[in-house]
Amino acid sequence: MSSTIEVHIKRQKEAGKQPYWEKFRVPYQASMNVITILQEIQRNPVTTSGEKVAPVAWDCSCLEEVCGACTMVINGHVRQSCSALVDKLEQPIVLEPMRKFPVVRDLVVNRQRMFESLKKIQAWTAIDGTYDLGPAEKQAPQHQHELYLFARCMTCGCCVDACPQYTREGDFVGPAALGQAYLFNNNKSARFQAEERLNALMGEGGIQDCGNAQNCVRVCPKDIPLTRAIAKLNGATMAQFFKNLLFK
Amino acid sequence: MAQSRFIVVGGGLAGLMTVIKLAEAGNQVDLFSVVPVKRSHSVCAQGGINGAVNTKGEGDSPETHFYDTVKGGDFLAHQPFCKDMCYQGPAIIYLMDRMGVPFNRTNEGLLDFRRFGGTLYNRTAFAGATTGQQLLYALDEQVRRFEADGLVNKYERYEFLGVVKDSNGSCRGIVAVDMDTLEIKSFKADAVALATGGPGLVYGRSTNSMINTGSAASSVYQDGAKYANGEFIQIHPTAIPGTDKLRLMSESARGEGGRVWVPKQKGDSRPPRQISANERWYFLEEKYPRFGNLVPRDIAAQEIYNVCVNEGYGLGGGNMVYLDLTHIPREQLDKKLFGIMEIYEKFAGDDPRDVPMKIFPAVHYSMGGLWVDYERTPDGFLDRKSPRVHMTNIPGLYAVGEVDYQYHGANRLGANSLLSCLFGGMVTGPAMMEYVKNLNGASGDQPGSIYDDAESRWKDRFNQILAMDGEENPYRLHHEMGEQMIRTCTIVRFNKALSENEGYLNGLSDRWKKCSVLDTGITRNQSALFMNHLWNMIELAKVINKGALLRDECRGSHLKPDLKMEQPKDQNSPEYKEFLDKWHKQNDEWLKTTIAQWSDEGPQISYEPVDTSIIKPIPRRYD
Amino acid sequence: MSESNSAPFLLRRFQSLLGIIPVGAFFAEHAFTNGLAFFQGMEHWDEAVAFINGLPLLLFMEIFLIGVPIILHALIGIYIWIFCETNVQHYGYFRNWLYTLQRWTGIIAIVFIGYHVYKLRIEWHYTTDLHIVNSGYVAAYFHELWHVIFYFVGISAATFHFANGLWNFGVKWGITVGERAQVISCYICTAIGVAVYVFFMASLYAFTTA
Repeated sequence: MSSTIEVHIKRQKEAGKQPYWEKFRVPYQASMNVITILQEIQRNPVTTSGEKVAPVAWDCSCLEEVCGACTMVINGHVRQSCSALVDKLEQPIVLEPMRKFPVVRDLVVNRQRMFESLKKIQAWTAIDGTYDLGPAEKQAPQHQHELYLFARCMTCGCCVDACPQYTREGDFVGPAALGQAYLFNNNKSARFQAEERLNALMGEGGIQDCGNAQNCVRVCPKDIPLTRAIAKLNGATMAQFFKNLLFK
Repeated sequence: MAQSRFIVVGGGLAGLMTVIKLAEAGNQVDLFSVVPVKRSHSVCAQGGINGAVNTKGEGDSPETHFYDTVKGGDFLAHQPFCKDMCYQGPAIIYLMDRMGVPFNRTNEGLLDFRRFGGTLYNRTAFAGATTGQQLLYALDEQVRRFEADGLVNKYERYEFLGVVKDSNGSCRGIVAVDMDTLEIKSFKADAVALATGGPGLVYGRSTNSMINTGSAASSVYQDGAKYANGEFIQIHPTAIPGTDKLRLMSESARGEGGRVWVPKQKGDSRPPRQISANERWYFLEEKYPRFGNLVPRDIAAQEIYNVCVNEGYGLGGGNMVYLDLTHIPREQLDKKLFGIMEIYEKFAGDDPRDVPMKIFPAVHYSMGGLWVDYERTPDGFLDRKSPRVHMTNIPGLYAVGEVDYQYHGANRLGANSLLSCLFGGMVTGPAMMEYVKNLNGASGDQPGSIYDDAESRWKDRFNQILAMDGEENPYRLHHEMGEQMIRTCTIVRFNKALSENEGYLNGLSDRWKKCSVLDTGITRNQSALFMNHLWNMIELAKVINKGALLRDECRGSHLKPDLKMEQPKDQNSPEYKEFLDKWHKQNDEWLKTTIAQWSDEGPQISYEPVDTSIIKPIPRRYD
Repeated sequence: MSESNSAPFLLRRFQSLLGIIPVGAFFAEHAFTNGLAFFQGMEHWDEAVAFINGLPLLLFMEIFLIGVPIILHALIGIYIWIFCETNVQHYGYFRNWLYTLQRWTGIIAIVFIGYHVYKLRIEWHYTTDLHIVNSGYVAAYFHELWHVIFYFVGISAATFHFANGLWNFGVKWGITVGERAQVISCYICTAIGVAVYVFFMASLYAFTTA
């Protein structure tokens, strides 16, 4: 292992500006990750050609792959930079911002659209209030386990970034939101709004935009069985469609 | 009458619960956060949330929970806060259950509970090993619902800079900066809650998220708010060392049966599985037969430190011990601890189901924080009609969550932080409404000049920062400060080092002025924002350090080896009586809250009594 | 939100359905009929063509049960194709390849089918005095090597599009839900695709060598 790491970073000064590439070289440390590389650049923001530049901007928070903030494209693949260990990456390491979101600066993107999608599908339990109303219904441990798989979604955006159907200009809600729709449609009380969610999923940008490329399930850092949720929702929306047709 | 305006800064558990309480009552709330609130630091809480639901036939009760909490905090916590919190524990867990948190279940389908440190009861509800994440998501969803209904307005990627005060010194709003554009604006409010979390980044590397700079708390401290018990920094016994941060290995690992050990042979380099049971030193189990591996965090961290640093039993002679789960069936680990199994696998590269984890203590939580007020009822609960509950000494400014100080005393019990955040939010929202009800004149009636002045003060500050082009690199300065603080002000504290730190930290303030801002743009200029954080962190470091220097005793997480009083085992011995006398004397002098107030010459420290009227302090024992 | 417009959903599900019924069904039937040329000889193929041409309302059926559905399927398909951003260069997963190929084979199939229908269904009405097309005419057509190549490519693309579309249909209509179900249906669709392909290729071989 060489004692320095070379990293190529796609930078952009602000939205609408032309992206450009810069190369940096940082000292190697055992078990370092991409975050450490970017921190080293902050401490010494000089390119390989000796030019002093502004430190690279990127989002990060928890650094243990539960917050989803530090998602970026590393060596062509979208993933969290905290869990991208240098020892497991090919060099030079190439960092780019996520592809499907507007770039704010350098590696920082705006993922607001994902949160708006969660509003569209009413990703919540419509509780009556925060008063003391006793415990919820009993729940089979297996059921809890199934829901927990989907509840771990960090809205990090890996799935949508890798989805060929999710485009900057389009309005597809994307796999993450579909997974959440499935989660809430199976929650003991949020399922009472299941029909509204299914109807929302038949509108513009709804479930029909899924093209079964199934990249989502491959790139999800939390191994959420998104395609299973989508297939189940496909059946449920179909049934809802006929219900709407025949009973209303 | 104009509608009252509320601002909540911070979108973790405490902030969101405060927002929900306010919005639920029909109020308009502006919510500010440096990250989309779903990415707040609460996601890092792993093991669970305490509530004495007593589903295992153990006879647990809120009163016992209350006792464990107060004793765990070495009696420095304000008891009415703790009492009310512990009595609300079960209802809060049920509420989160109703919101859809996927808590683990028993075979009957009931909520499951597990053991945690500092108690002998199964009292901790959990959702895998990502409980904080699951609780946060549930609140995030509720707030999104209020947002869709138009009651909550989110300002995400906005950073709080300071409060706006009227001529009477009451809080009338905030100044915040849009992190993407560096635009600085003031926002009006009749009451403001800070739920901005802890200051872990003062230590550089800790278990905290990179957003936990304590900057907001430091800003209001420098603007006159009292900061309490700053020296009480919890060191979590078990974390994975790393170059960028120290990743938490939840106490639930021990709650589910994990055992801490080192080889009896110093420097034994064999793989752990080749070291037989009688060649292993399970030092916590040996020293604390009753609580074993589940002693409170302060004690576990101090013991691990002692075994490695003072006695030299650390793995390979270094600073690490084994946290061993390999005797527990894999399915059980996957069901109950999956989140942390995954973290260890991804970041350390080994499967903890097969190989014992290598861990060492790390800075984790601040028991101290902004001083807040309260009123109590005669039976020892909080007075829910009082606007003073959770209010700082700046009228109209509240603090809730890790940024407050009153629940955990000198040492927080595991799984009590999620509870204190949620409970804090549930009482802070209503207290803010009480305050606004009795407020003379709404923020809308205030002269515009107070907002313009505050705004221009901060604009000047940032213009000054943007013009800085000295030799020092702020990130390197921060790194250096962190390493220094870890060395001198964590598990063991010596007055000599602490008093040297005073000069060092003052020197940092000077060196800060010689920093280069590194980036002069306005679009997502992270280094300009960081320069402000760094200044604020240095100020908090001074508070932590000064409090630690002056507190000449050992209490909870605050350990001065030079002043340690050994507790004799035999409670009937004359030595014990002698110890007890000394202990009482120490309590008379030091069982009080440290209050730091900002001044030009550094923090001014004073002390305030603690309400210990319900549970009488005794020397803590866990053996 | 509950009053949401389900037109986008209907449009896409309709497209998916058209691909199976009637287009896919006709496609499979077409393969079977053509296969006769190889498996049973040209005279049987001519008989089958004669039989089909003897069906009542043939032109009506050809236009409305086959032509219009294909055109609709193609138009909606082009609309879908325009808005996707394929990325196999970054994510070379099996399913992503199939997804990408589904789009490209769709485009190839549109060109192929358009040309094919013109050449072997329409053109001879005006250029010959045949009442119905016969194997001799078709065989003569395939004396041109580039016709053979063009058909080889076109049939390959169309067959892939058909078989993979069948698999997609199962998922989109919520029939194959589980991961395992999707693997099994993939085998089944592959088998159907291979069978159709063998029939078409055999007939192409038969006409080319006749």
